[in-house]
Amino acid sequence: MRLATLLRSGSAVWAALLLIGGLLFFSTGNTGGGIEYWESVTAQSTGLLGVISAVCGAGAAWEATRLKRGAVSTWAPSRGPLRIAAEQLAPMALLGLAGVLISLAIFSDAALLDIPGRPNLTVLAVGYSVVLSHIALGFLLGGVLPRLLGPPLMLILGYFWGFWPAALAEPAWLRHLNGQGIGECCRLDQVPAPRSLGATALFSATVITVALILIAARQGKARLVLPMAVAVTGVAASIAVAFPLGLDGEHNRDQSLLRCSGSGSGSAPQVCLWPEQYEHEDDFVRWSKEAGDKLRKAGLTPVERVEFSWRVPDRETVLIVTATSLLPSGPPACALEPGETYPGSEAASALDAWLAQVVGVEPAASSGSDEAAQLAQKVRAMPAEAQKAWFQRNLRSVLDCSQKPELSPSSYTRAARAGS
Amino acid sequence: MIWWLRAHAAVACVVTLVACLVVAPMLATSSIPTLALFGGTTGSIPVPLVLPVLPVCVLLYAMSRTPRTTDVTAVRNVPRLRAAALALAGAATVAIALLEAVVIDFPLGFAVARNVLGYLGLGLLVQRCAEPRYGPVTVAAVPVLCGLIGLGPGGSPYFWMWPAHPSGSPLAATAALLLFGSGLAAAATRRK
Repeated sequence: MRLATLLRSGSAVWAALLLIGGLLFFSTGNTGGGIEYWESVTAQSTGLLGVISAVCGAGAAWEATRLKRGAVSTWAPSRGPLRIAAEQLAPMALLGLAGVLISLAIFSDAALLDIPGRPNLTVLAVGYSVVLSHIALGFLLGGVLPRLLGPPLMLILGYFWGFWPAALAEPAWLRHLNGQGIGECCRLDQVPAPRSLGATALFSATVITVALILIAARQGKARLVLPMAVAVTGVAASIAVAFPLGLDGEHNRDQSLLRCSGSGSGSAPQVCLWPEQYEHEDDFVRWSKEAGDKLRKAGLTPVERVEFSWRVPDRETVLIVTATSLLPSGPPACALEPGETYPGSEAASALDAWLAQVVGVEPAASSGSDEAAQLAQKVRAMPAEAQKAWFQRNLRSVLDCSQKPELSPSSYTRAARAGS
Repeated sequence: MIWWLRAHAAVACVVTLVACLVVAPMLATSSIPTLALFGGTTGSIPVPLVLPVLPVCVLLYAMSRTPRTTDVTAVRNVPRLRAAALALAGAATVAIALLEAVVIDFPLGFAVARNVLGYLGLGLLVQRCAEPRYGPVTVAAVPVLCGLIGLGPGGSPYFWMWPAHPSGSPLAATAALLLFGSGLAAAATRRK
């Protein structure tokens, strides 16, 4: 068929105008505050897959209704059904590819071009396989359903399938079948989980295979038995692959890429950086050394090794992160049991604020809570020994659920006066 | 009458409409999340506000099943009768939704009925201005568009995205009623 006829008579051009127009409108709301890390950007761009696959699926259903309306199969076509389907769906497939690439562009920042690495091609390929599976399913449903109902059903189905699984807490593995399992990825120390990508690819491949068999096979037992067998095996396999992941779609990044500076013992905390952060290594090392020195002056031992999750360092943030890495990052195991009380939680915010002020952060910026910042300021007015005692006493309550915190500065100054 | 009902897939219409109104309260707390742009907040559209698309598409399909050429030589004013049937369907939806909102305490019930009316009106307008086959697709595209561009900062819908507004929003109710009214008017008149 002539290319002009193919494009003129099909729905791809109109769908392209609407989809690309919509994507560009959507991109105007992008404030561009993401992590400049290729894996993160590629994984986040899968978020738009729901819309792209819904539109492409609806377009494929439209093409199928056109072929059914034209009763092409009754005119003794010289080309087989798969060839006809492939030709009519080619513009839609190209639109899907363009959608995936535009979605990547929307989530990218100009600053990304300076960063080593490239978009994760596996993620893009898996995303495109999702779009292709919607096209295949749409073509199938469009040929079966009434003419007016095929495209809208594919639009709504694609929209629900693309966005709803990620909102459901259970089944948690469902989000790994539609390509949305890696939407929470990726911090600098993570990459998308290969299992999630594998489950999505397997599921899409199953749908595409079943659709191909049903389009190609006109008569015979192959029409029913084979597609059913393929569908059941494929879906079961993809669920089996996705099940152990639960809600996580992230995998630890290759640790050999970390570059650690400094010798560690006796000097500043060892700063370990990912390739995206190498550019600002001097700033990271200088400021965390400053924090380490101030902690040592206050009588505390800074932590051995510190990592950061931002690409571009900011002095206050580096100081705060280095200082507060002395505290555990989450509540202890005893606090996570249902019905348990954790009295140390208020101590944790006060300790955070005090540590931040020790390393030189302004009291106003040292904590999210004004109360904690003011308490920490009062504690900073105490003599050094009393401050250290306050820290050690309350650290015990942060680590152990049975210890109550003793946050009031007056009890330490009284004790100090009584002791001297 | 039976022939008319069979020709216009009345059973399918009733079944999908009832199914939508039954399933909507069950999914009252579910919402479909939309995309979180960097630094932006996630928005979401409650599922019951998207569900009305399905019965509306079936209604539009059912009313378009017969070729328009037969209406020209009909004795009775078929377009007006069709519009009356759609108005009846709309009124029944509103009544059931009101009942649901009061009896089962389903606050989104008004919004579901409003969305049925609004989608139906929009679909009828599109079917009148363009070919009948473009109606259901346009209706189905509305919530998709809503999810993509209709939610503003903070996750709340822009004023012009009426399907995503919660119950009791006067702007959305006006928009839906206007659309329904003009849709019925469009369905009741013949194309010249």
